[in-house]
Parts: sequence; C-alpha cells; structure tokens
Amino acid sequence: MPPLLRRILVLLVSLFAIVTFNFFLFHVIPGDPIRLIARTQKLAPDQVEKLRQSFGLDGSLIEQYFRYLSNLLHGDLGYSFSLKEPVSDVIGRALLNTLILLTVSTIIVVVVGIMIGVFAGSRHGKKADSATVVTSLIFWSLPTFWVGMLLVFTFGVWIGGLPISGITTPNAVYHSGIDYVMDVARHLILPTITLAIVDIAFFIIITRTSLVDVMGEDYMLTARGKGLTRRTMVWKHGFRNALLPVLTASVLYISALVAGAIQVEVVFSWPGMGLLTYNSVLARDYPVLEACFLVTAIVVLAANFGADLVYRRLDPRVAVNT
Amino acid sequence: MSLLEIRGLTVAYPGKHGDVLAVDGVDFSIGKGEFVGLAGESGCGKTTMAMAIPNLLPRNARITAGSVVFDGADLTTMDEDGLRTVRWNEISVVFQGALNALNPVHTVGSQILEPIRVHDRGTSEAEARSRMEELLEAVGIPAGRAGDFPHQFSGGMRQRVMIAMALACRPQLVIADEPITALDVMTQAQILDLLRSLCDRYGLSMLLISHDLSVLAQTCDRVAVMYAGRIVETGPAGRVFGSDEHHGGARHPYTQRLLRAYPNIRRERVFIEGIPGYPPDLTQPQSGCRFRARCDLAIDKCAEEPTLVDVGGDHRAACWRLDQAVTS
Ligand SMILES: Nc1ncnc2c1ncn2[C@@H]1O[C@H](COP(=O)(O)OP(=O)(O)O)[C@@H](O)[C@H]1O
Ligand SMILES: [Mg+2]
Repeated sequence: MPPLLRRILVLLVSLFAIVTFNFFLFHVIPGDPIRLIARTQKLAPDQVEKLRQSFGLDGSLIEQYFRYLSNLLHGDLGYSFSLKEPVSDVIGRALLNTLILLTVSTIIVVVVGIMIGVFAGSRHGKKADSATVVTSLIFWSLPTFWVGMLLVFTFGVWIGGLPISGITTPNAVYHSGIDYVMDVARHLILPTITLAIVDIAFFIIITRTSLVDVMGEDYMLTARGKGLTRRTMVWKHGFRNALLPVLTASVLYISALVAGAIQVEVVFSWPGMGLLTYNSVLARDYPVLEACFLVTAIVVLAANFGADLVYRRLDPRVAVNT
Repeated sequence: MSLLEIRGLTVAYPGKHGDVLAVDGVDFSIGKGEFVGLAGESGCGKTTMAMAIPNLLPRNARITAGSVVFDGADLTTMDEDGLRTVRWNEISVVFQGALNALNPVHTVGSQILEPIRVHDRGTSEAEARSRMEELLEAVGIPAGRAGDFPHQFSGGMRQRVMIAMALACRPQLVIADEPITALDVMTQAQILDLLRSLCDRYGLSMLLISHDLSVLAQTCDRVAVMYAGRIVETGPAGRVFGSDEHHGGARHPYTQRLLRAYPNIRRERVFIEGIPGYPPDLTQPQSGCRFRARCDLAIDKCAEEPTLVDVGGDHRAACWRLDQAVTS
C-alpha cells in the first residue's frame, strides 16, 4: 500500500475511534441530561419524552449511536438548548474565530521563535545565547491565564488603548470591509500576544537546543571546511536538520496550544471554541459540549497529520523508509 | 619551495590541569604533487595537526606558536574571509568519521555542486552539473545517483562521494583523515587505490592520515610518524618501511614497534604484537623523549630532548639510541 494511503486510512480509523469514544463519553458517563433539564424546568412526562426524542436520546444506546453517526454524516450535530440554535451553526462561528486566533499566533510563534532560536543556537556558549535561554525559560514558565489577566489589567485599566474583550467593537458601524478587518485585528492583538509569549519561549528553547546538537555533527565541519559563510552553514546545513526535532516537539505541543487557546479566549471573551466550551460547561449544554470535544479532537488530529506530512517532506530518510 | 611548510606548530587544548599540547612544535612539509602519510596511535595529535592546516580546529583549540605557510601565505594569521577562499578551493578534507560527514537532508549531487558554486562563481549551471557527474563517475558511482540521499549509499560509497566532493574545486591539497578506518578490508583497499590514482591523475598533493602503517606503506611517497604531539621519524616511505633492501627501514624504536603492531593489509600477519605500556598522558608536562617510558632501549640520556637527526637520504629520526635501534 502506498504510504500516503496507509496514513490516510490510519487517520480515518482514528477519527472513527474519536467519534465513538466521544459518543459513549457523553451518553454513558454524565447520567441523564434530560432528567436534569426536566428537574429544573418542571416538565410533564410526555414533554420529557418529546425532549428526549429531539435530543436523540430515545431508544437503546446502540440505536442512539447509529443515529448519531448518521446525523454526523449529514452535518447535524443536534440543537443547543442554551443558545436555541443548531449546534453546527454555533460551532461553525466559534471554530472560525478560533482558527483566526490560532493561525495568527502560530505564524508569529513559529517565525519569531525560530529566528531567535537560531540566533541563540548559532552562538552556543556565548552571552547572547545564555541570555536568550534564561529569558525564554522565564517566559515559558509564565501561566497563560496570568499573562492574559496582566495584559487585560495593563491595557484595560491602566494604559487603555487596546480592546480587551470580544472580536469586534459592540455596535460599531463599519464603512468598509477594511474597517471591519482593522477592528478585528485590533481585537486580536492582546489575545495573540498572550498566546504567543509562552509558546514563542517554547519554540526558542526547542530550536536552539536542536540547533546546538546539530552544529556538533560531522557534516557541519564539512560545511565549514567547504568555505561556506556562517549564514549558509547555519541555515542551509544546520537549520534544515534542526527543524526535524522542532517539528516533532511541536506536534506534542499542539494539545498545549489548544489548552492555551481556551484560557486566552475565556480571559479576552474571544468568541471561539474555548469560550464556547467554557460557557457550555457552565450552562450544561451537552450537545454543544459534545460537539466541542469532537471538533477539538479532530483539529488536533488534523494538525498531527499535517505535521507528519511536512516531516516526511523534510526528512528524506523517513520518506523512503515508510 | 614546498606547497605547504609547517614550522614549529603548537596547538593547545585547555585541560583540567593546564593546556594539553596536542601538537607540540612540529615541523612538516608537503611538496607539490607529493603523497605524504602521517601515522601514530590514536590520540597522538594527527587530526589536530591536520585540522590546523586550513584552520578548522575545534573552538576550544588554540594555535599558540608556529606558522602554516601554504602557497606563500601564512594561514595561521589569515582572517576568516581569507580562509574561506582557501578552504576546499585550495585545501579540501575527507574527514575522520566520514560516515556522517555528508548532510542527510541534501542529495549527494547538490552537496558536490555546493563548493563549485561557492568557489567557482564563473562556472555555468550546466558546466557545474557536468563536472559533478564526471566526479561521481571518476569515483565509481553512476552519475544517475546524484539525486540520491546519503542514507541510500553504503559506507564505502559514501566515502567515494566524500572523495568526489573533496576534488570538486580541483584543490592543490587534499587532507584525508583516516578515510578508510570505518570500512571493511576489501573496501579499504579499493578506496586507497582510488585516492592514489585520482591524486596522480589530477596532480594533487595529499596528506593521508592513518594509525595503520601498512596502509601508508603502500600508498605514500613520504611518511611521518607522530608520537605524543611530536614527529619522531620521517622519510621516504621506501626507506622508513624498509622495502628498499639497502636502507634498513624504520630507525625509531616507536616506529619499529608500530610496524610490528599491525597486520599487513594484504598479507595478514599471524602475530600481532602490541606496544607495552600506555600512550603518554598529554595533560602531564613532558620532557625528553616521550616514548622512553615504553621503550626497551631507554637510557638516562633519553630524559633530554632528542631532535630529528638525518640518517641519510632525507630519512630523519628523533632518538638518542639510533645506533642500537638499527639492530633491535
Ligand atoms: N576538542 C578537543 N578538546 C580537548 N582536547 C582535545 C580535543 N580534540 C582532541 N583533543 C585531545 O588532543 C589530543 C590529540 O587528539 P587528536 O588530534 O584527535 O589525535 P588523533 O587524531 O591522532 O587520534 C588527544 O589527547 C585528545 O584528547
Ligand atoms: Mg584523529
């Protein structure tokens, strides 16, 4: 079987496992959500039964499971009882907002983290290197939530000037598309900084350590012996090899990134998946929560898959052996 | 005038108890087109001396004295920009531990092309490519494999790629640091023959390093034997190894021991005799002949520094007991 086909097959199987696990997690473990609603709203038994049907909770567990799969294939994720909207609509909006936040901060984290990491790693043992490492370790140890609160306080209460909540200014009137984009961009600044600050530190440390290892390899002496400039040595020969461990470490970090995003969204009321998850927990909105878990798991899975593809392109040894 | 003239070269590494003089006041030269061998037990400073030539020493190493005059210019005082134009263009290296000397993420073809592009700016893309393919063929690798990655080649093949790469800019001097140590015996012989024939074909000079004298005996015009950071014996290969019937062979007790310590690469010897004692600890200050603690012929006089003495025909040895050593 071609390697790519096999990997896609593995991806589909993992996806199926996640869907199944997610289903049973919500249908077996937390008891009966309908009884919970019925208790709070004092409903008659026939109304409870109707509610049960509308949430797909009637029939045996196996019946429910297959109905769930079929609905999922049709893009039907159920109905949110706290927001009175189809879950798919709610998730769609939230996912888009989260992807905006994650994409912008990931690009910044990767670019800045790698630049500084290579800067430090190619100056191994010098002052610039140790200073970078110490600073990064301090930033890495900062809790995301705390950094966010600090920025909210600084820019919301103290200095002002930058929005600290939401994705757009409430009741704003936009004269053009550009106006709108600028408003969103302004709202992005603080959440992005919060999310990026800790992750950049991580990226710097990983890149730097990986590059320091690579710089000691035999082929780096070859590169020096060839009379290459430091720049070519470091980037073409060193960095290309140092990138491989960085990528591996980044995959492990994807879940931490998602966790960080949830915190940031809560702190800055960014209407994304994190805030949605948080609010759904508070509202006991199980259909939404279930979908949030599913989507988050799928995003992490997809990111892993993507990273794996990149890895295969970067490392010829892996590409041939599998 | 030689191509390379090393005078009084001293290289120090910082150690726990003061500097380690891995190379200690060495004089050494290589003529144009000459094939010179450098032998000695591991740890005696061969790599350090060789890497000091194009100034590719590890960061903690310091050249504390001496000069390395190559083609009329002293490389020890040359700045990094100047050295970059000498490296590979004039002096290329087949590194020790060459199995990892090729970058795993670039194709072998692009790694051979790289120095051509860097040093021979005037070369067109097509010319550079055809030179690369020609070099691969010259070392016995089909040009069609230029697009393969290093891990797709065996150890011997990778060493051939390294050699092709070392010749890419038509350097004047190739330094080969234990180029065959990691290979099996059959491949060793092939690689040696290849090195020798390529150097003859392109008129290069070569410094071939090995801890195995029999390797040097077959390939080199001239050899030098190093012990504890110093050269203890040097001369035409035929004289030092005694293959010229009338010239007695090795004169220094250490060289004689070394010769008995290794099996011949072609005719496997039955008895391999080790050298008693341990190589000297370079971290301790040394005086006099450094081999005397392990030498059967040592006398009180050996506590004084011996100098290289000509024993005839450009064959020189640094030993106070040369008269005795002949017959031992
Ligand atoms: N980077 C280094 N730092 C400190 N000491 C070193 C370093 N490289 C080599 N040495 C020491 O210098 C001496 C000579 O080493 P080397 O030149 O590699 O010898 P050879 O090539 O003959 O085996 C050894 O004693 C070794 O321990
Ligand atoms: Mg060595």
